[in-house]
Amino acid sequence: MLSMRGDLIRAFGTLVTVAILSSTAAAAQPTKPFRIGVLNEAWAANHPAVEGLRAGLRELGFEEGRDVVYDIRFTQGKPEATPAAAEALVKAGVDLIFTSNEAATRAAKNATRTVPIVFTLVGDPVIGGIVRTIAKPGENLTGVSSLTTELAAKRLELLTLLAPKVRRVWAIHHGDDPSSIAAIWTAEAAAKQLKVEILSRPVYNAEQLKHAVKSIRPGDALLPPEVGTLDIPAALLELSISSRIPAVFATSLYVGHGGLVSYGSDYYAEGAQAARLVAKILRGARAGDLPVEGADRIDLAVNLKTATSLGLAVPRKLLLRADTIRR
Amino acid sequence: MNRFHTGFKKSMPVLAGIVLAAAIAASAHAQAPIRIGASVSQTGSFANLGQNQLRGFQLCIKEANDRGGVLGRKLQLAFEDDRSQAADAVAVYEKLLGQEKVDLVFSPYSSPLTEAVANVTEKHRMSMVGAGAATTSIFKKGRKYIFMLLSPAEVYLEGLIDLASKRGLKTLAILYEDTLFPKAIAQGTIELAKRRGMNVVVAEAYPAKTKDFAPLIKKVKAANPDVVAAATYFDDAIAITRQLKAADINPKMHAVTVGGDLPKFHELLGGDAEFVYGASQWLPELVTLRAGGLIPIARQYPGAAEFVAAHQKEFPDAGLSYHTAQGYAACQILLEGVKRAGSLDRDRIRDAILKLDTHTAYGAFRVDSDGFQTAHKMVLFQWQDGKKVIVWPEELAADRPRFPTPPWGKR
Repeated sequence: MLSMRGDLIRAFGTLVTVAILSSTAAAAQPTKPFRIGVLNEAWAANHPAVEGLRAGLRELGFEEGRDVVYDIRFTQGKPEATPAAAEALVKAGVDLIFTSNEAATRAAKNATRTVPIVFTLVGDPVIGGIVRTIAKPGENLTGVSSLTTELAAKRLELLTLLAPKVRRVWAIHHGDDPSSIAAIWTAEAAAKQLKVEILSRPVYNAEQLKHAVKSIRPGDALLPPEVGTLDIPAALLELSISSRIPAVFATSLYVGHGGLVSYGSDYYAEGAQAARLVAKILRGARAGDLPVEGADRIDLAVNLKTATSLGLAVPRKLLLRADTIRR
Repeated sequence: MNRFHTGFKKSMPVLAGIVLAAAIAASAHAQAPIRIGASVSQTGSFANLGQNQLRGFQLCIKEANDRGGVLGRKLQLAFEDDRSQAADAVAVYEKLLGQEKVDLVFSPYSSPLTEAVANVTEKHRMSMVGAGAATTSIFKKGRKYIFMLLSPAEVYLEGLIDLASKRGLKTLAILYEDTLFPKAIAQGTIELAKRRGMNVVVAEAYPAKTKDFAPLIKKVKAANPDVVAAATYFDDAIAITRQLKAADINPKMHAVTVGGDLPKFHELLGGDAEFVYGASQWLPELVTLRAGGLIPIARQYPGAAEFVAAHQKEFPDAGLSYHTAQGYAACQILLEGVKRAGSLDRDRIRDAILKLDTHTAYGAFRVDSDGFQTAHKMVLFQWQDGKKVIVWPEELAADRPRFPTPPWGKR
C-alpha cells in the first residue's frame, strides 16, 4: 500500500527506460520515455481524470513504460502540501505536468515557467488567473475547463426542480478558490428567479468547515464546490446522506455514492480529452499556443434511491434528460 | 455433561462464564440471558477459518453486552466443536435446539456445514444468518429461516474475469474442490468467462483433502492457459500454487479463493505468493479507501474501523480475516432482527431480517424473499510486496494490478 512522508503523498512513479514513440526514426533510435508528472489533491493515485489521461494516451499510441511514465503525487485535500509537491515534480525533471483542480494548477504554475502544464478540473481558468485567454492561453499552460462557472446556474435549477420546497442553498467553498466563487456568483444571479437564497460561506480550514456545516438546517440544500480542497465535497456528501439534505454535485461520481443529483463534466472523460493536448505537446507543440478546451462531456446524473430517502419525487422530464440514473 | 463453551475467550471459558454469571446475578433486575447456540469448527479442515468466525461472534456479543444486552437481557454464547464435519454439526444443532433450547443460533463455518444444519434450524423455525456460506443453492431451496450475508460464490472471481477480459486474455483453466462452495465458484466463473468471450480450456474438480494435484497440473500445463483460477480452501490454495511453480506453469494471471487472503498464505509461500490474486468479501483496508481517490467509502462499512480496533485489543495475537468480520456482521444482523422484532418470537425475527436494508461493518446487507443476498459486494486483491492490494473494482483500486504475472523464474 501507499506510504506517507510528511505532507506529501507519493504513489507509484515507476521509471522504466525503454524506447520512445512510434515514428520510424524513433524506433530506429530508442530514447527515454516522456515523464509525466501528475498533481492533484486526491487521496489515492486513481483519480478518474488521471485514469482518463492514461487511457487517452494509450489510445493515441503512447504505451505506458515504453513511451510515457507517470510520477503521480496527490496531497489529500491539503492546500499547504500542494506547492511543495509541484516543486518536487519540477525538481524531479518531469517533461510535463498534468493537474486536476485549480489549486494544483496554480501550484504548478508557480513552480515552473518552462515545464508545460496541462490542466483539468479548472472551473474557469481565466477568472482563476490561470491563463490570459481561452483562445491563446500563453506561457506554458493549456488544458480543459470543467465549465463549473457556466454550469452553476443549471445545477441550481436542477436542485430546485427536485426539491421545490427548498429556500436556502448553502455554497460552502474554499476561500482561495476563484472558480468556486465565480460559480457562486453565477448561482446567485439565477437564485432570484428560482426563488432561493444562496448562502455563500468561504472556509479556510477544517475547523471553519465544521462550524459552517453546523449552521445547515433541515429544509436547506447544498451546492458543493467542485474542488476537493479541505475535503469539502466529501464532507457535504456525508452531511447530505446522514442529515437528508438535498445536494447537487459537480460530477456524477458523487451520485454513484449517494449524492442526489449532479450536472457537470465527467472527470474520466475530461482526462481523456486532455490527453489529446498532452500528446500534441509531447510531439512538439507549445502549450501556450493550444487553446483551452471546454469539457466535451457534460452529464446529468440522478440517484433515485437518494431521492426516495429524501422524500423527493423525480420529475419525468428530469428522468428523460438524465444521462445516468442510479436506482 | 454439558460440553458447550459459554465463555468469551476460548482459553478462559470457565472464568468468563463465572464473570458473566456474576454480572447477571449482580443486577437486581437481571433476567436469564439470551442464549445463542452454534457449532464451531475448532478442529478439522475448517479449524483456522472457523476460529476466525468465532472471534467475530464473541466480539459482537461482548459489545452488545457492554451496551446492556438485547431486549434488556445479556447474551450468552454456547458452542461446541463440529470437527469440520457436517454430521457433527447437525448433531450439535439438534442438541442446541432440541435439548438445550437455546433462544437463537449462529451458523457454522462453510457451505457444506451450513447446508446440513439448515435443515435442523428450518425445522425449528429458527432464523440463521449464514456467516460463512456463499453457496447460492443453500438459499434457493424454499427455506424460510436462513439468510445470506455474503456475496454469492458465483461472483467470487468476477473481478478476475473482468480484469482478464479487459486485458485481452482469452483462455481460462479452473480447478476446484469437488464440494458445494468451490463448485459453485467454478460454475459461476465459467459462466462469467464465457459471457466475456473467454474459452474455458480446463475445468477440473478434485476431491477434498487432495494433496497431490499432479494429474490436474499436467492438464493445465498442456492447455497453457492465460488465466489459472483455483476455487479453494486454505490447504489446497497453498498446494496448487506450489505445484504450479514446480511444473513451471506461467499464466498471465493466477487466482485462488478462500485461504488466499490469510496472512498465513504469504507466510508459507513467501515470494511465491506475490502476484497471486485472491477474492475477498471484506478487507480492513476498505474503511480507509476512497472511490476514485476522492469519495470515502467508509460509510458503507459503518463501525468497521471500531471493529478492527476492538479486534486488535481483544485478540492481539490473532490475524484479522474477513471470516471474523463475517461472524461479527452475522451477529449484528441477527441482533438487529431481534431488536426490531421486539421479542424472541421466531417469525417476527424472520420478518424483521427480511425487511432489513442496511450496512454493517461488513458492508451492505439486503436479501430477497428467499433470504438470498442482493446488496453485498466482493473485491479482488493481489499480493504485492507482502501486502494485499485491492485491484478491483477499479473505482476502489488504489493501485493497479501487477500485470502480467512474470514467469516463476523472474519473480
